Amino acid sequence: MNRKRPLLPGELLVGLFAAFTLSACGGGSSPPSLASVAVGPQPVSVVRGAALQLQAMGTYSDGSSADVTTQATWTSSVVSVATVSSAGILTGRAVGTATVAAKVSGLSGQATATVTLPALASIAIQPATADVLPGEVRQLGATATWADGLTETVTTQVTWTSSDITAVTINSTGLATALVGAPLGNVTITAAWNGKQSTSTLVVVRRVPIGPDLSSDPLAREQWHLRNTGQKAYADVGGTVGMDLRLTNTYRLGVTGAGVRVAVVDSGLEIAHEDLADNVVPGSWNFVTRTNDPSPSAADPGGDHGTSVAGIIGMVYDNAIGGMGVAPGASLNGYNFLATQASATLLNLVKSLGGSTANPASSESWVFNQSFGVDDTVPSLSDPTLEAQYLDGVTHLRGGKGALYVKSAGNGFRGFGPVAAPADCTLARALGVSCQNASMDGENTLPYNLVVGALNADGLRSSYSTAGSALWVTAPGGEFGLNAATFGGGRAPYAYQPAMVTVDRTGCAVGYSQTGETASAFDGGAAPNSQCNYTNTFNGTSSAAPSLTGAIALILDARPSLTWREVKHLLASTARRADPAIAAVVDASLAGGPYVAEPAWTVNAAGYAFHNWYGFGAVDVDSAVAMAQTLTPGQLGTFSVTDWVASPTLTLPIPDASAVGATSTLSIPATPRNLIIEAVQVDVTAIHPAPGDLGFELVSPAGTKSLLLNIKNGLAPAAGVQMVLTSNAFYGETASGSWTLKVVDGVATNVGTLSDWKIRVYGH
Amino acid sequence: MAMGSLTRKTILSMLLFVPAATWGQASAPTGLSAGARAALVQAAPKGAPFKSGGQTYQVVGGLRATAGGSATLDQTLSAVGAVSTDLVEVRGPFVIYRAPSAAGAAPVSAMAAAVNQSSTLPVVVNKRTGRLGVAANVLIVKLTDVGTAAFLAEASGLTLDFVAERLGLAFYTVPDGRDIQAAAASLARDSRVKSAEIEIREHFAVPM
Repeated sequence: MNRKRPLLPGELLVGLFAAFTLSACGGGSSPPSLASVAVGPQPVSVVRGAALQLQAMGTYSDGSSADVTTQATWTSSVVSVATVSSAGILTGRAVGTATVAAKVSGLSGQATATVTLPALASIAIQPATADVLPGEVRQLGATATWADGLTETVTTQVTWTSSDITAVTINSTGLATALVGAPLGNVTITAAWNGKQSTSTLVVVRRVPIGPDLSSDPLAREQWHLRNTGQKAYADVGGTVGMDLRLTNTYRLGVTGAGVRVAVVDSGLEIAHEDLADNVVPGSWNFVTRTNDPSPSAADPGGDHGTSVAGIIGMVYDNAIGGMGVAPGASLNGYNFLATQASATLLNLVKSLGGSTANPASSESWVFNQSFGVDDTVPSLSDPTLEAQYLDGVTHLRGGKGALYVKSAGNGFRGFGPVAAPADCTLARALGVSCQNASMDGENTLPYNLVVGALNADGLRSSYSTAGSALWVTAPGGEFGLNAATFGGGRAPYAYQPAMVTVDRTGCAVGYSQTGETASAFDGGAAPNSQCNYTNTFNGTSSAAPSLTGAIALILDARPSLTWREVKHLLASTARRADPAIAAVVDASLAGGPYVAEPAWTVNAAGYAFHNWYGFGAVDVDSAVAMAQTLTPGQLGTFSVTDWVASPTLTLPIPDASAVGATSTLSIPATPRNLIIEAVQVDVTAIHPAPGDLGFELVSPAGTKSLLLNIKNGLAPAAGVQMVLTSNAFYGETASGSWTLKVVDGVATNVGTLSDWKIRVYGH
Repeated sequence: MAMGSLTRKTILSMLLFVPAATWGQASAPTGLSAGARAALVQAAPKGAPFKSGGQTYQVVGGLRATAGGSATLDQTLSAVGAVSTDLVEVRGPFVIYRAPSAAGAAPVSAMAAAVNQSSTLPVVVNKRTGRLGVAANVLIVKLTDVGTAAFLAEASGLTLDFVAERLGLAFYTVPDGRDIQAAAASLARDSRVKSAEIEIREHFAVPM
């Protein structure tokens, strides 16, 4: 007889009965008697958590057999391993073996039941993500989850691997070690076992995460340059979400600028200010009082430019007052070279830019913020002594890795010049081009200076920001931050857009914010600025410079071994195009035109995009910090400069009011070395009674055109123009070959000639 | 423009696209017109050309400069015995004026001098740009060995202000009563000196 019932769903039946039987007497004419009982199916095996219908088969004395499952009394020798119900259903409880028995009429049959592991469903690592500091050791765990839903720690069974063993190593027991000097950022840890694997992300961080949203500083959330949410920053009109320095990931890594010493070369630094004092370190210098305290004079009630600049760089983080600096962990020094007329000497500037080891101890600084410049309608040439100091700074300071010099481009897009003889910007404003060019300040033409333009809270060029091919990047500088209700309405719309929220001299009797100030309610002492220790109307490329300085401090904190040129390279490589769809400015009035008076974004032969209003673009700190982690040291080679290659005397007529212009070509030889360009300088001399009429363009051997100086600029009437024009637009191209200079006279009446020009290239 | 110095006046000026009063500058009057100034300089006697910072300058006879400080323009001029009609130009922190004693054929003086306890300095013209500058009484001297800087100061009667060792430079102050150009020329002739230049103040840094 076969009396097997149908298989239960999921049951595994093996239809073999083995010899686990007990014999009984049989015979005669009496009804057959039960002779033995056997338990099956054999082998008796079940995965943990699953059930198996067992069967008891009775064998009778006449040799017949019958299913006696339901008559049997079922038992398990180890119920923690397997249980058997009265119906003979075996359930695996734990991996192991147990003897199961079926007893019928005093006869028992037995079998060894084996409970095996179910299939592995998944494994997981604990924690799934974690921050680790360089040098920190962290135990990871691995847990297996089986098909029955049970879990098991398998930390020592899995195979551990790291995606970057130069950053984080992991041993066979799951012990992860972030190496000292490990690059910041994500490392993926993988645990693999029995065909399954799981990953965990370890984030190598500097410190605990920071950020304006995490800070207790009450003004931090109004600092749009840190995280732009469209906030108004106490102005009338808000900006555009996301148009900021892109700091989220950097702050997430705990990068604060700690360990980076910043020199604020400016008018002063109120070292006891409540939101600066903790970041001010010994080494400041007052050139007027010859003390270590460059705080502004009490006799002057005005704002202190340097103090507000310092605030943008390094306001103290999370102290429940004020705001936070871009690099709130940076150390600050102030050198008040601009404090008075008498202090603003060449010697004091040399001392402030790293040329002094004591009083001031500027040689200890890593980054120099220069929120100043020459504001003159006659271009200055770089001072040889200053140039030597800059070169010394990039060569010797910071242990030979080179200091970073950050410099404001200027505030002369719409107007500039001394009050006695301001530039005539009528034509520039009508055309929509910059009246001032960054190269009009000779120090801006040096490759040692990172010249920075200003962005407003919409991520566009600030209304005043001086343009030019000497710009490197742009950074937040804001607009004017006015309130119509206090200041009055009717000004240009940008006047009511956010400026920068930063520190101001302490108290309501002095500073930009003080009793009676009407620029904004905030500056007049309204809440939350009732003590007048902060301002919301600081702006200018003076503000863009400390934004960039702070950004550089963060980059150097993230990777202190970077050289000055590597930092420049990172900034150029990661800047994002501001106003990417901006159109060229075209002057249709010129003969042979239309003439492109200001090109749109131009991508050079090395793939770098450049625009004279933005340089390589808006600073993107997160991208720069990320790239810093993978930058190969030394990849930029040795810095050098070619000799000047000069034209003969040309006396080349420049067609009046014509787009045709006058052109001249010079060739830079490939020997001794065909440099990869980092900057190009052109020294031009032209005779023209109205040099502001003239525009200069330079075309590289690769065909890239850079507008060096736009027509209708604000150069003062004079016999001519001799100036150095720097372009960064050829970055990454090669230097050798023919370079063509074109000079265009953009205004009718006055005529002139190109006298001569020369060119040299900085690069590697 | 001192964009950081947002007084109401400054903001108004900027929004009207007229440059605001630059740091360290008087607001008015501003002196001679560009044409009148050029004519004055053209007619004035001038000293021997000399180089500084890659530029060529000449001392302009009859003109002097004094730092304005916090005084009014009239006070500044008065302190050096001049009047408002003597004003030629305000250049950065300096007030350039016709020296009262310079009527007629004024001597060309490159001397640093105190007038009524106010320091006055020679005025120079940049031969390339035609612009006026001020010859500070500071010499920037490139030395063959900076170890000789103090000795040179003593030997020359100058005050050693600073030695920038890696630059190989020494900064000296020329005392009042000494001819600055002559002092530079004298140093330049010394075999221990590679070059000696007068610090010319022609362009002025201002907060941005």
